[in-house]
Amino acid sequence: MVHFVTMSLIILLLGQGAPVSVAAEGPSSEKTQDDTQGEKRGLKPRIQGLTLRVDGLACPFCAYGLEKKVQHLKGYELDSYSVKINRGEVSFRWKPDRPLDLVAVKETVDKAGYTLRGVRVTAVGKIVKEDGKYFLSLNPSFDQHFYLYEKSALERIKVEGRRKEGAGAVLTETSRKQLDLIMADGRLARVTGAVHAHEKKDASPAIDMQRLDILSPERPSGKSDERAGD
Amino acid sequence: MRHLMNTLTRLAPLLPVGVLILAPGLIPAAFAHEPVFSLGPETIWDQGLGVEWEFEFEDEGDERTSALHYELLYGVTTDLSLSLEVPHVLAREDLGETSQGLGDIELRTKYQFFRQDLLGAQHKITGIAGVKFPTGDEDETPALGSGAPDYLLGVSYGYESRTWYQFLTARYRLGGESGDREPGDRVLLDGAIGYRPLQREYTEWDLVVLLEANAEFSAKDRISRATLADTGGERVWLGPSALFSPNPRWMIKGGVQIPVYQHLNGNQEEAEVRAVFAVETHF
Repeated sequence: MVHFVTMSLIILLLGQGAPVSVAAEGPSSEKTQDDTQGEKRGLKPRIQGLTLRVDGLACPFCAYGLEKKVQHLKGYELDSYSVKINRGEVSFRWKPDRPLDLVAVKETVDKAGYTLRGVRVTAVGKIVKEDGKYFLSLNPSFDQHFYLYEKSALERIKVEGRRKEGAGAVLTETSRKQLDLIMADGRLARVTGAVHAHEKKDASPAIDMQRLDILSPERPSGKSDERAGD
Repeated sequence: MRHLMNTLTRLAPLLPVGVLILAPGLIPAAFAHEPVFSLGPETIWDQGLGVEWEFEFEDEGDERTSALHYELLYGVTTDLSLSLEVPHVLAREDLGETSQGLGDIELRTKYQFFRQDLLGAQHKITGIAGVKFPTGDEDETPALGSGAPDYLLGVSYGYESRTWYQFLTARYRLGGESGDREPGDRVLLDGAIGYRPLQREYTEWDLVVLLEANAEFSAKDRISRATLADTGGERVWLGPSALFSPNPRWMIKGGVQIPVYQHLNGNQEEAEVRAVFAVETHF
């Protein structure tokens, strides 16, 4: 009995190493304190955070395995993990010096024993245009680009059965104008949307652009970013 | 060869803990989110490690047993897990005699060959295999072990969701011969239904209540090929249990059952009650 008590205490002490992460809210489309500070310092192109849609999260005790696996992702930022278990959503911030590795994210969820249904990313970068297509570029931080499109525009093309405006038709006209303005100003943009690997092997991953924010240096009025279209 | 080396590498974390497990009364081990009175379909994540301490009590008329079980669970892969269960009999009383000490250690493996994930839910089916080693002293009175290896084969289905739980398990236990005595084989059928009354968030406490039913069908023991009349029979247990997690890393669980049906061969004492209380954690 003494052995049991002694070893139980040892096990309890060993197990305290990594307390359950209780993070501040994961990445959201709202402006955060970090964003303001980052802008003052000169924000760099980066992945800010991810929200994963995961199937199979029935109970917190079982879902803990996913938290353990996510902590081993190279881009995972410590103590940023949060879960909305009833919605099957897991969110965490991403390290500023790591590109997004969608394959690693999927493998992480697989090894935890769940199924990844979608990834929503919030990323900061420059808008570039190539062959009529718009990209969010994370240069010079690292060589990663995201092809920008809008699902609503794609569905319109499918319904109409043709592309009138060329490769840019995967975005609405309003979005294209906003992106052209951002490009002309040379500002950084923050894009939030569902990301997936493109069907073509070497093609850039694509983001279904759901939110677009312009990030700019702080102005005397204290307003340091604006939402595209405001 | 490469596959073998990969598997051995994955098993390496088990070695130091395994050594401590085999010393009686030391380091308990962990298990999963399953019914309290049977095995379920749960495995543990790839290279996950779980530990469980379990206290059990059973009253069979003249024979009463209380024991501590230490279990260690390891995820070789997402679908394949190994568990080691070390029982320490605190007291086994029968006809005025009492014994205590190490019981029969059991090594089990589970392979999850089917899983379907839905929003907030999972269906899963797992194959189970195990062997119980004759580490308990059969010469004690009453005996602490069967004196021979036993073998286990089973299959378990589970449905877990944010609200409802369902488990169905079938197991076959093949008794090994000890000298000229051969215990009767056993078929165990288990069912459980569970309910989560409050769907709380990830870091909040979580409670699931279950109703578990367990049926046992035991063949008669044999000595020198002759059956023993006062052995074997059927029994059905029924009772409530609960799984409580104060946070995602810990689970406290317990339950109590009474036999609602017993048909025992010959002159055998009927069971009165059994209970389990356990604490689990995982790393």
